[in-house]
Amino acid sequence: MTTALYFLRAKQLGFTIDELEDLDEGLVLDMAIESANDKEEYDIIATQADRDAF
Amino acid sequence: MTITLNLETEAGPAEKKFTANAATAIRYKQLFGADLGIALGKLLEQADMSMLQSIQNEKVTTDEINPEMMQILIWLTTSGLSDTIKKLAYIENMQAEKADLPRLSEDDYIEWLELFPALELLRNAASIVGLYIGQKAGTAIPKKEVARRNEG
Repeated sequence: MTTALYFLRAKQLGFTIDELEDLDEGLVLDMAIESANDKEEYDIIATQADRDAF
Repeated sequence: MTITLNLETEAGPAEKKFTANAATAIRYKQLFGADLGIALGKLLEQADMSMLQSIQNEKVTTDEINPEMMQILIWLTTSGLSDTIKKLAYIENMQAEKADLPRLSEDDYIEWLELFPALELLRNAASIVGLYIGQKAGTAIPKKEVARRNEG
């Protein structure tokens, strides 16, 4: 990931550069990944019946 | 993440603090106009951390030179990778000292470099680079990647 893309992701998460001074890059990257995970869509989603069968 | 290194300076031995955090790569880009991730990627393609660690504790003196260490230092210098290490060291040191980073210039960097004997920062490359890489490590996994792995 380039610095520009990394900073874009950090800004999308709402961080200012001063706030980034108090965090590790790993945490910000983890948050960007989790944010993308929240928006992930699936073709098939398990129903309650599937979960019971499992 | 902050570390303290005992460095030789032109004024004698000194303790210097270095900090790497989520703003380091952005500060590097702001000041030097270059991408730290790409520059370090090039460095680590050609030299692993153990290579940098092997020169960490060596003393650089003119009368007793470890040939292996000299080979690594010469290679770092001639390949241009030494520039990345020294610039990263500057950003990390300025962050530790809570300097007003947006106001710093390349002239300030050159002035700072003059504090150290020529090879001192390169000799400590493993700590300087390792500090930045260490705070970059994360644990989250993209769901898309998990799904792909499960399909395979």
